[in-house]
Amino acid sequence: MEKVEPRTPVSAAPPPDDGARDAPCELCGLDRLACGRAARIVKLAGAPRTVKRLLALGVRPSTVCHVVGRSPNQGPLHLRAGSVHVMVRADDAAHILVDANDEAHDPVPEEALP
Amino acid sequence: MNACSFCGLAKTCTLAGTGADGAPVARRWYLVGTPNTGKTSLINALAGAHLEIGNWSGTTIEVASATAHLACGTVELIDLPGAYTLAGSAPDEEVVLPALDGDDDALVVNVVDATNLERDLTLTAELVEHGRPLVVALNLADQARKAGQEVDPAALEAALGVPVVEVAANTGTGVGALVSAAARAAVGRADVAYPDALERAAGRLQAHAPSRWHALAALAGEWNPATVPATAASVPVGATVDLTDAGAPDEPDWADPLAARAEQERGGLLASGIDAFLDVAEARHRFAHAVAGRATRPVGEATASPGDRVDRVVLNPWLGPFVLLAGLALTFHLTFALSDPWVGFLGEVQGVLAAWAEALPLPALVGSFLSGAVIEGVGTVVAFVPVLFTLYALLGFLENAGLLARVAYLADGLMRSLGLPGRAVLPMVLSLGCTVPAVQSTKMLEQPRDRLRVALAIPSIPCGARLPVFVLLAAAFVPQYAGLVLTGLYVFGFVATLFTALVFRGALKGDTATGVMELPDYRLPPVALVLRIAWVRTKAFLAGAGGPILVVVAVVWALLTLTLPGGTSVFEAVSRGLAPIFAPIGLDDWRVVGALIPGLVAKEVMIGSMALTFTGADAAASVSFLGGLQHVAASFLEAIRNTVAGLWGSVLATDAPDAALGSRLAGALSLGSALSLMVFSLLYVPCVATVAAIRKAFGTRYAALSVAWQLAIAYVAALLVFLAFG
Repeated sequence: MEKVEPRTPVSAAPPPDDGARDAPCELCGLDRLACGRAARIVKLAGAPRTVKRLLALGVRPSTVCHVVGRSPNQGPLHLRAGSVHVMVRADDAAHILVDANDEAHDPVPEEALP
Repeated sequence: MNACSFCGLAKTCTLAGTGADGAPVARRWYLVGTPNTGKTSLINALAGAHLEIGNWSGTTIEVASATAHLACGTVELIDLPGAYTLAGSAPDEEVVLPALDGDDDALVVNVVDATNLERDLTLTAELVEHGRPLVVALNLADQARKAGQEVDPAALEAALGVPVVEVAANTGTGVGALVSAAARAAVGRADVAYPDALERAAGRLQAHAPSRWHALAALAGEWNPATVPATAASVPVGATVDLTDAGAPDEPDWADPLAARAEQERGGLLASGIDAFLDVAEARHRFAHAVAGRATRPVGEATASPGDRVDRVVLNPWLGPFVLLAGLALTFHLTFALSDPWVGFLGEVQGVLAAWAEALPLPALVGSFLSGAVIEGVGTVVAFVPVLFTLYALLGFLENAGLLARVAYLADGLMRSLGLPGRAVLPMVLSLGCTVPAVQSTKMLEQPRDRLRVALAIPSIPCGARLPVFVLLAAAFVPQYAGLVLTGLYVFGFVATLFTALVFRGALKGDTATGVMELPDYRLPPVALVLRIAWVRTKAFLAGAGGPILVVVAVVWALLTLTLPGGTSVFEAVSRGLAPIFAPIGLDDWRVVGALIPGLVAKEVMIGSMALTFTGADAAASVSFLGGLQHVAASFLEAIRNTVAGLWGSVLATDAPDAALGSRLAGALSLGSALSLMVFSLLYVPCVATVAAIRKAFGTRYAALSVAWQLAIAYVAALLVFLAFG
């Protein structure tokens, strides 16, 4: 798969629905988030087509993304961003950087967990 | 005075002719929206039974279109592939922009999913910026209400400056109002708040671009001049949907200068820390978020989505694989259980027609041509109608119900090792029944490269037609180990399939599918529409692939029927000529080599050919006219009974092998030769219909590649088997 350099983080622009945060930012790939956890997206990188598709589906910086489940055999992740459910392969999810400390504001609903 | 069947207007109707102010009004309406928003349902509600399906100009991308005959004029409706963005993030999406760019007479009907309003409004914002007259059809508002959200069309209309009409595409409710509103279609406005520097740069570019959208897309680096046609005429559209090979569009005059200026502006923005690509998308999302917030209000008690509960089972990491296996098995079973009895019925009809033809007072050669070439050829083509129709109906159901996306999710881990998307598992499973519908089903894959790889790989999977050949040979040569040999052949076929997929992974250029896909909500698709589209697609296949199949059947008839001056049949002469080529793999008997030729029409025909050459011809049964009709009627009733019974029975059942032929073969071939014949039959070209299907989907070049590849691997594998066992 074609890779590009990580793009400029747009986290410079404050999230639209809240103010500054005190918690230290601990960046990690979305693929490292456990099932049932949520985190705010800080940066999208990876293949341009993938980034374009993620943006079009509403998976974009500053949104909170929930890891609803994982497919077997090292398969893709099942994410929820807003009202949209999305499948993302683990290696693509690794290019979605999230702030793992920033999940308390929009937890995963209990009924959405596998 | 004729009143329009939708809007009720008469002389004053402005929809398809000249508007009230004398200005011309669009005759082509493009339905644009994100996937699964109900565009096809809406086009069906607008145009009824006039739906057609064809490929978009110069591509293999399927586009539905229809002609709506309003009393006030005729409107062409074009159902463009579902797209999340005008810039396109998948090949199917990439036809949307050229379609709108290339037609100055376009009216855009943006179908918006009320249950996913915010996401869909980002596309609406792009369409407004693109600048074609627009009307918004707000679909699935009833579903949104059930989910606790009321969407106010008037608020959307105020925010966008275009007519917004609530419709229920499945039932046709609101369609009349939509048609009336189309007369008020407007360019609209979208007050998207881009960062100041980006706005200024876009303003400078806009003077050199056809629209604000083009300026922003060029700035964001999403714009590709090659996709923009110079004139409307370069992209033919409409109900005459034979849109093949129109050639690549010419690049317009403004393309290069705009791209160059955009490059400069983008560089400047990047230097000041602005990534236009992300910021343009972010600004549109904020706009969509704000508009959706203004246009929706909570209503009633929100009911929990049943889809979430279903997903807890279907997508569960432990239960999921079993659900996947059960789903694939059910799809496979239904495809063939519902179609096989009708394939058999058509075969009986064909037999009766052939008997009648041979009884006609015609010269023997003419009668033989009528029955053996014309009726046999047409019968071979028509025999695919039940299986393709059933397959298309099931695929349409799975896709529209949101189930296909779940299959892709569950199988993705498995298929990823082959570099294929999860959806590729379905064509592979369908190949066990018939390769032709399996090739057709590759259309559901996102990337052309993946479609081609799968289509080239699946002919090695043993289809149902090959099973009688294997059973005959296994029963004749290794009766004690017949089950083991049959299992081994299936494993061998799958190994060859994986090998082919891996070989062409490196050999074929092109993009791979993105690992990102929406898991849409579960919905019950309108059954009538699914069946109608299945029929339209089946007709499209027959129109494209029927000709080559008829030609090959006629050639095989000529080989089998015509004789040389010495009295030897052409078939025997050709078979004897080919025998030395097959001698190294243990097949030096011309009768066996000859059976491989009619085997190109259908694998089970090999048995008939060998029966003819090894044991002699059966006398053709004569059928009276009345007797034929009675036979057809009885076969029809039997097909109905078998359809019902087949739902609970096996679809891979085969007749008992011909014992007489088996003993003759056992006397003529060694064990090594028989195993070699089985492997060659397993791997060489499945049938001419498969080749025709590949040619229709990918062109003559790749059909030829498929034939050459299958012959090559069949020969090498048979040689290895003969060397090992011979």
